[in-house]
Amino acid sequence: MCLALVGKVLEVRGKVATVDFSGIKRKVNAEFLMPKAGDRVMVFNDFIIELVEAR
Amino acid sequence: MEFKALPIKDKELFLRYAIPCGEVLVGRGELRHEVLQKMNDSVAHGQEIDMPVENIFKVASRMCTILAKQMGKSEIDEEVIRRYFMLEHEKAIKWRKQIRPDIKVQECMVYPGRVLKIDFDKAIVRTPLGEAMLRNEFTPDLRKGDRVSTHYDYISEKIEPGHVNKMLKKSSKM
Repeated sequence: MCLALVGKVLEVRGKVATVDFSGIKRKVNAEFLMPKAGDRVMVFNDFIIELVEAR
Repeated sequence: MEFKALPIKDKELFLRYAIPCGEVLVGRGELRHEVLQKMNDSVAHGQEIDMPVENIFKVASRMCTILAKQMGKSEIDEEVIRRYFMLEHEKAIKWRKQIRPDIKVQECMVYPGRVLKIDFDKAIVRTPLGEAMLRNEFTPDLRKGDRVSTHYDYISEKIEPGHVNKMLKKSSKM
């Protein structure tokens, strides 16, 4: 099943965001949504595909 | 900023791969079983699909959008759909496994297979996971010896021998 994971954006630099998944940090592609630090986002295969909830 | 998914040109092909995951959405309360059954019947009987499948299978349609854009396309066509479900889908699932090791990876993946026996609306198929009896409703003209792609308990489609190799060659150039 194509289930995305929800994480929290720690910082955004250009098109790359650092996202925290309950302690696991990953750099992901943010170019399709351009979130802000603090946003909760849905991520799938290193791409942010949805803004879950903006702070 | 909103994610703008590209239109799906071949909804039937998209659903052949997406419907097998549908029970997971039903189980999570995100999709009604009647809607899933209606989509299933539409594909099985070659009927027109008038449902917003992009919104129902949001993750797959968005990942197909990203892939289509990387391929310079303005819509999600059969090449994008097959590349996503046959090649990129596996990478995506393995990525998820790195972050959430508790998720069962094998069940989600699309596997190739060869038909060993047809039994009415089911077929016995040999896949890399072993032999399995799978639902045959999307491929009624199947014959013993055919090569197929499988997803969960479904045969998604019959595949031509050179098809996947051709995609792999193209994919390595991306």
